[in-house]
Amino acid sequence: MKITTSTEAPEKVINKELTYDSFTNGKVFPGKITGKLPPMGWNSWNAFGSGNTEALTKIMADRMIELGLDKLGYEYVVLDDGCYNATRVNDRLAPDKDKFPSGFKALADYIHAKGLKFGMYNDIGTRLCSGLEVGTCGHESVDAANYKDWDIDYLKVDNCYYLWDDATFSDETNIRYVCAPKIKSVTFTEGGPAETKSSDASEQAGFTKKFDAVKNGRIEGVRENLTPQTNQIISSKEYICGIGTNDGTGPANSPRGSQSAELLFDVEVPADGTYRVYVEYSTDMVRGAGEWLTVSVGEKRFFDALLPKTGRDEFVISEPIEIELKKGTNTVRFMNHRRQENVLNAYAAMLSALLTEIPDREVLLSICEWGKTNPGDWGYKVGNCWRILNDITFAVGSDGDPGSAKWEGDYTDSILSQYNKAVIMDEFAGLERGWNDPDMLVIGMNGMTDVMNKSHMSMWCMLNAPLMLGLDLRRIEKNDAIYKVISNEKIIELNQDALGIQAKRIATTFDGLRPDTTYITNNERVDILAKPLADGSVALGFFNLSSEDLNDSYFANTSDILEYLEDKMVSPEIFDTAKSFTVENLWTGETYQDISGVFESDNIKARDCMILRITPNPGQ
Amino acid sequence: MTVNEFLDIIEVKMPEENAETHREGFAKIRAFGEDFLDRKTAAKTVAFILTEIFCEDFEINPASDYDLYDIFFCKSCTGHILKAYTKGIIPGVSRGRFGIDRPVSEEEALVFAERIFYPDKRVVPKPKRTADARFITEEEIKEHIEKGENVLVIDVRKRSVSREEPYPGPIVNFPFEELYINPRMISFGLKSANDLIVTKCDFGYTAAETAHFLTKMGYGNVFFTKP
Repeated sequence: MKITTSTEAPEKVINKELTYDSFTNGKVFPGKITGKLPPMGWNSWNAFGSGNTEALTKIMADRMIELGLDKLGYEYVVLDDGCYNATRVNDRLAPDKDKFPSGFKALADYIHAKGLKFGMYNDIGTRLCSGLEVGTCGHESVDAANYKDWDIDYLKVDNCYYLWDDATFSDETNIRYVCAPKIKSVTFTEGGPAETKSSDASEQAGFTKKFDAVKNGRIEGVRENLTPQTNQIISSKEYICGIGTNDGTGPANSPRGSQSAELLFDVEVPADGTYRVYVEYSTDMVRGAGEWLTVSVGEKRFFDALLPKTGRDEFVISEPIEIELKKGTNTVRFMNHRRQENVLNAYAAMLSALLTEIPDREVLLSICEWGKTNPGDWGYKVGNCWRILNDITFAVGSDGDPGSAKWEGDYTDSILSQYNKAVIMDEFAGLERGWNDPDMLVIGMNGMTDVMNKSHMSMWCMLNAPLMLGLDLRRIEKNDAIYKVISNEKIIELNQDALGIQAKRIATTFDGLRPDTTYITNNERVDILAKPLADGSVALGFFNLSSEDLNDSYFANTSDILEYLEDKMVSPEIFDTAKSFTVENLWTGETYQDISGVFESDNIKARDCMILRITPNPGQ
Repeated sequence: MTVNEFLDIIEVKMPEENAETHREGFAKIRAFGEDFLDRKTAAKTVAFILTEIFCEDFEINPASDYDLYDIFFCKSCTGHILKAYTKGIIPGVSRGRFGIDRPVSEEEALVFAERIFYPDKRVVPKPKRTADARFITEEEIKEHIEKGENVLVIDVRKRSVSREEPYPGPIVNFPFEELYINPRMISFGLKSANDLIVTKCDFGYTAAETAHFLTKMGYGNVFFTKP
């Protein structure tokens, strides 16, 4: 079935695989490539922003070979935003002629001739983030035909100017599509002749039942409650609202647990048949109250559209919605999962167009909607990786300026903002699913020290994040400090380990919390991460996230590791019963034998880390 | 262990020359002798001894300077804990945590008892000076709102308390113990990093500590208030 998008209205949901109810079934769409380890390469955005050019890209490809980065696994050269002509030409994408005078095919050939792979960029909205009116919405097929001509191997897709949500640069009132209206009551009546339209119980013959939304409805899931305004409206005693999906772009929310809410009514009916439901509702266009309602019984959807607008706080009765119920008790769902469903549809449309146009070439799809729709839930169906937050830096570089990055900050633009969310998302990732993407590496930007570079690289490797370099490769030489960080084969090996398991946080210095699932953004702490590897060994990472040098050690023992990772390890029994271990420090190279089974950090300096690879010695 | 058992250990450790004068003071503490000895109760016991019996002086910075965030559940208890902590007799269990409910082992009780009588065995923590948040009145908050500024008012009381006795007006409920773990949870209510943030609780004490904490976490414009 062809999946399409439209600039007229959100797509009707015909394919069940595009619904919220399919998110947990593990099925992927045709064209999704499974079994891939995290991609490695270079992306133009952090290095050059929208000032990237053909000349610069070719130099970067040259440098990747000169520095031997290709031998280390870095293979994708990705053109981010800033490469297209301002408008479509005959409805087709075209290169910016000043920046890319030879065109994309010539550049692709150049990159492929070096044994590297070629990536490009697009956007599911009508415009790219730069504002150019060449977004792929409604154009997936023609764009995929272009990508075939340009021999791409990778496509990163943003969601600026997206029409069916209040996405970045989109109309704020688009929020009306992704949240149900305020609901005061619902009335179920017998289905009957069209003239029987009143929801007034006294005028009904036969079955009729009215439910007060606050008193009789059940909320399943979690309603967004993050601003004073939404808090006021969702704590109303007169109506229910907040029936939508959390916006995951910022650092406020935990990525784990329910991200949306449904309003449920359990209605008992005397016989199988068609019934009518009248909804007493009021529309708005703010977080917590919108205009779009979905009504389902089980997985069967009976209504999925905008309701007619009302005045703010004016409640009206809807036209009757016909639903089918079985004799006995039925749970009727009033919900809105359109935030996730609309965007899944858009990325699925792109994937299906790529499959149609490029069936014989592997093209990885990188989902870049900044975590807004909690893509950990659905991204695996269509993409190889999914961004989890807004950008790691907004101060990108240009030719001659490395840009800048931070260790920590109050929004998403810092290493720890990204790390804090990714570190508890390990259960979303895997070889058959794809990878959490805490954004590209900021190694080499201003503000980054050698220690921060080392910890940032270690984190991204243990978190199975895509390793996309974002620096001007002319600024480094073999064996300088930055090169040593990005070329540490033993650390890269963790990221590219065949077992494909993202590290789990097994300890943190905040007392009494589940270390593997609690969302922590107070960075004055030490984290211990453990990652099972294909040869039966375990990588153990001690991270001092704080701004102070540690005067004491931290330790983890084999029991701690097994407690959290036993079901993911290759041979947990060997690990458990081993009498000695070979321990290698992956940054110093020091190797020693351990017979205690207790692995200790030394006094780790501020923002520094220690990464050990622990291998049980056979037969001992 | 109970408080009585703790006092028995303390009496054993007590140098002979103090025994006569101090036994009377101890009799007063035995009034809560059957209480279970968790760390907050041990702190209460130690604070009583230091204050009432030894009449030691205390110099205590604002609580937030000591980086302990689980001690603000009752005002008098906070005072006891800070006395035992700042004198170097009972340390915290981990970074930021005193461990108020954790039981005291016999081993630990012996160490605490010794430190009462032998000051050279105490391990005195160094306070870290942090920026202080200031008090703001409800009228001043209203003025900021009327000027069109984005103001985020945070009720820092426990969720059950906030639900039962909500404060009026646009406000969110983020309890201090939750903010301590995830200070970024307030980011949705902010349009810019310099927006005015006001913490609020019934008496202003937890609100003040939360405000100091948020300032430490990098928010620039934090005040506290009470009804």
